[in-house]
Amino acid sequence: MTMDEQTLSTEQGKYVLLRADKLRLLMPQTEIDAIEHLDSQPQPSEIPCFLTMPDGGDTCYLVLSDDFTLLETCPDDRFVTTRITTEEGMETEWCWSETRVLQDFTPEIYEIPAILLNTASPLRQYTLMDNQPVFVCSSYTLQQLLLGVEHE
Amino acid sequence: MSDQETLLQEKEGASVQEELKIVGKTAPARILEFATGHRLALPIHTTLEIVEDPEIFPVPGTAPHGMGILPWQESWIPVIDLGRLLLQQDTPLEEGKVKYVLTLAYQRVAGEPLEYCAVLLPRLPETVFVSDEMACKLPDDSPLWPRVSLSCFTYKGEPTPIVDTARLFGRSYETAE
Repeated sequence: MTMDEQTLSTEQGKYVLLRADKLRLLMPQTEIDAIEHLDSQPQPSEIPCFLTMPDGGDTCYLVLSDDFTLLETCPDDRFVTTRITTEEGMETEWCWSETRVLQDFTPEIYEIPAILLNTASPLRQYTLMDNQPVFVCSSYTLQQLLLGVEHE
Repeated sequence: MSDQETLLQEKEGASVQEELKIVGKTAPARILEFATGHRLALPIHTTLEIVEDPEIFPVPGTAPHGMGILPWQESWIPVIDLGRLLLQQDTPLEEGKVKYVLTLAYQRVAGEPLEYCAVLLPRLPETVFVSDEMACKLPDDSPLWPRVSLSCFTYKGEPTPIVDTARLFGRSYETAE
């Protein structure tokens, strides 16, 4: 995926609202392979923040906190996952408190003010839903979080 | 322009000059104590409103001085912790809560629309009149002062930079950290 592909379309289309506790993200549905119910809680593995199911094979489960960092355990309120395949072909399941598919949604995108950002800031844009900010996110942005963990 | 209009402009100019003499060439400034013992002054026309119990929405992954965004007057504006930005120390807050913020205006380029931001306000600001006799050197507690200050004066025995809001807030600090 090129850097240009990080820029999301603001055209009308299908988006998915992803909520992790108070964090709310907006992602194009085309970047999500599947949305599934989470029947049981994934458990910590040998690699910090990479959670697994006892019978889930190599599938990696990831959990975001309010401040867009990866958690080492899965809170009780996460019961739905989105499957995202990384550039390397690895299947990852991201655990959420809520997902909502938005049909024919046309987000009005705003830039996060430059004074708030630093070079590592992963989120750069937001839209407004129900008078609250929802941060624009791509699968690429989530993959960058994985790289951060792998390099620690 | 008619002679009458020219005369009127000259008279208006003269009255402004007289006014300056009356107040002894002082200018009002709003003083913020953004951290204990650390103050800055802002041109009074840039300070707009004190918002009580602001509903600040955090923005994940921001710079340490970025507190989030605040809905204010039909728009969303950034909220800045000046203690973090200028001194790399948290602004002290009562019970850890943001009770007040001060909204500010700035204009990057003349003729462009005004832009807005807000700063944490640990204490209510004071208004003082500043004169040339109060001028002093900039303090050395922040590397940013030379880049963002218009001048500096002594207030309560401490150097207090007068900050240009456009220089302070109308830029990115991505490369500075």
